[in-house]
Amino acid sequence: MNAFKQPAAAAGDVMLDIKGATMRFGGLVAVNDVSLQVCKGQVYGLLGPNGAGKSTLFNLVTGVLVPTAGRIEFARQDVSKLALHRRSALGMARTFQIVRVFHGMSVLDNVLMGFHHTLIDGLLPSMFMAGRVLRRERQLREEGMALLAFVGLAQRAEEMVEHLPHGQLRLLEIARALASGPNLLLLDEPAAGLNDQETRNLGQLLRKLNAQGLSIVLVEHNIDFMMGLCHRLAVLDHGSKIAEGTPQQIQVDENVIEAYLGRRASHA
Amino acid sequence: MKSLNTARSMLAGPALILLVGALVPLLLTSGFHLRLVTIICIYTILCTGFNLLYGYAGQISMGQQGFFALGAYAFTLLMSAGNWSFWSALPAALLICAGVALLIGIPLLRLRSHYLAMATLCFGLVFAGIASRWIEFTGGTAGMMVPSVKFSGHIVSRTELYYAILLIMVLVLVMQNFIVSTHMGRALMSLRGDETAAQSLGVNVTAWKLRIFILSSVLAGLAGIASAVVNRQVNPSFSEFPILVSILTIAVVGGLGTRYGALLGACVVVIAPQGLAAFGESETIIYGVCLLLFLMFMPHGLSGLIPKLFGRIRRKAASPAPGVVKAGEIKP
Ligand SMILES: Nc1ncnc2c1ncn2[C@@H]1O[C@H](COP(=O)(O)OP(=O)(O)OP(=O)(O)O)[C@@H](O)[C@H]1O
Ligand SMILES: [Mg+2]
Repeated sequence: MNAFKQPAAAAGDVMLDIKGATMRFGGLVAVNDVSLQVCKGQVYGLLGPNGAGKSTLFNLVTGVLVPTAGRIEFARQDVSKLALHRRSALGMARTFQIVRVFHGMSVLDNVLMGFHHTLIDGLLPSMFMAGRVLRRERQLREEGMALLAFVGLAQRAEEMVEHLPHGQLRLLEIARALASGPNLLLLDEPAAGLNDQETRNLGQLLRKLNAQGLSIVLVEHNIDFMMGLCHRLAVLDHGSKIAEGTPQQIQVDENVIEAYLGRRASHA
Repeated sequence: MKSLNTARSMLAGPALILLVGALVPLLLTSGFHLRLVTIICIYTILCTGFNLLYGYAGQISMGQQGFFALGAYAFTLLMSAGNWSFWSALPAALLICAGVALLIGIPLLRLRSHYLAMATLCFGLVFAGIASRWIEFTGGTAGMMVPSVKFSGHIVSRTELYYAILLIMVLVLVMQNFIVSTHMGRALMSLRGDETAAQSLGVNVTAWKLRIFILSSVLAGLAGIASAVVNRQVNPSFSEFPILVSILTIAVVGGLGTRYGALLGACVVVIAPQGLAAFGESETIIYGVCLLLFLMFMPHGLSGLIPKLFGRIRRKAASPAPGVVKAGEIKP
């Protein structure tokens, strides 16, 4: 539990500021007036039962969806309506609840996709600067290999992604997200479908990244995993934020016990 | 070192093709055979564009024959009616192809890809209609003569024309290899997969679709111009169905999303009918059955065979460290 003692967590520099975000799908309010702040260096957890609106909130922050109401600020800049493809350059990167890798490409090429926003955009400019493109391409391969080594996939670099088991695809998605050089990493259920050993390794990986100063927003159903990793947690239920605080505060929060833990217990 | 490898893999194939292509006229005796080889080069240029668009980026266009004809007609009209010189008519015709592709592409590429297939198909049909009916301008079904290309009084011979088109084809292949072995190729391949994931990694999906659609249209136009110059005429058949069928056949036989599929497919599509002509009436049936067999048993076309062949040779050569296959060899 030494994660709580990290000084970075106390720094009050707000990185992501969600102000009254609301998302409606027809009559359904998937995210209802949610406000929260993620500070620099924090690991921020989102908890909530199935259908609580966690992934929808992720999609609002990362630009896959445009909020019906409310405001989202990233690095002190209003990004509520910013186009999806412009966000990685601002320093946010994500993984998906259901893994989204590019088929028909090698593992390394998938990671290299993460660098895309740093490279020359367009066909003609790239052709006019062919020499530069080729030199950069060589550097990219080295950097991509280093990232694969970091997540433990270096041996599989040249294989097609189709050959990787689920757990390794999750790591690949993280490596790809890291390639874009993010300040904030958003992970939607990164431990889903991983076995205990893989989950422990993932936890270690995330701790290492956080220790290097990376802020992380994390959605996970695995409570132990979350409690051990997050500096701060918010709990969503039916689209609304029903609690927020440190892991100790959340564990004894009555709303949470009723809405989340209690419901779980009654399922069993 | 890796970038050296990349550069080598980009240039080695085209260099070999240039070498073989340069020797071909020395081995051929008849002008007819030279013509066939020239047509192979033209089809390769045309289908390289289609391969980048569909094979790599997953965007289907059924109107490449329209751009093939547009390039040919624009070039011819500028040369004959407009009295433009060769060196100004050529880029102008290519720019016209790019402009038309831009106009078609902007509204459509935001939508799902089958809208592009429908709209481009319509473009091809409309173009064929205009070419055959607007008689004063296009010469109707009879088409127009293309003035022979002259440089400072010297009329370019068939062989010289072949060398020029061969060189253009090789340059087009180098460009294709450059595109597919860098971030551009990765961006294109991300389009055929998951657009949301691509966008959240910073790929401007609409822009890249538009870019590759324009490039493929310009290459189709370039092939059309070459075809007009070689045939010394243009007519509405340039934009008609058989060209589209040839494009699709070449794609299937050669192998989509591979570097040399267009060339391999073009060789087969141009040469095979010469052999099949002996079967007379049943030619079409045999052609169709062969195509079907290709689709069923060789989903990656002829290009799919190359890594297998290489693999076998390598195994026979008893190379050490099996298992680890280098990227360049399994990748198209
Ligand atoms: N694109 C959409 N259109 C309509 N309804 C949607 C859409 N996306 C999500 N929803 C609905 O919004 C609600 C919240 O979904 P969301 O995926 O955000 O939940 P979640 O908290 O991520 O759940 P889980 O833990 O199962 O992943 C659900 O009721 C879901 O059916
Ligand atoms: Mg979810």
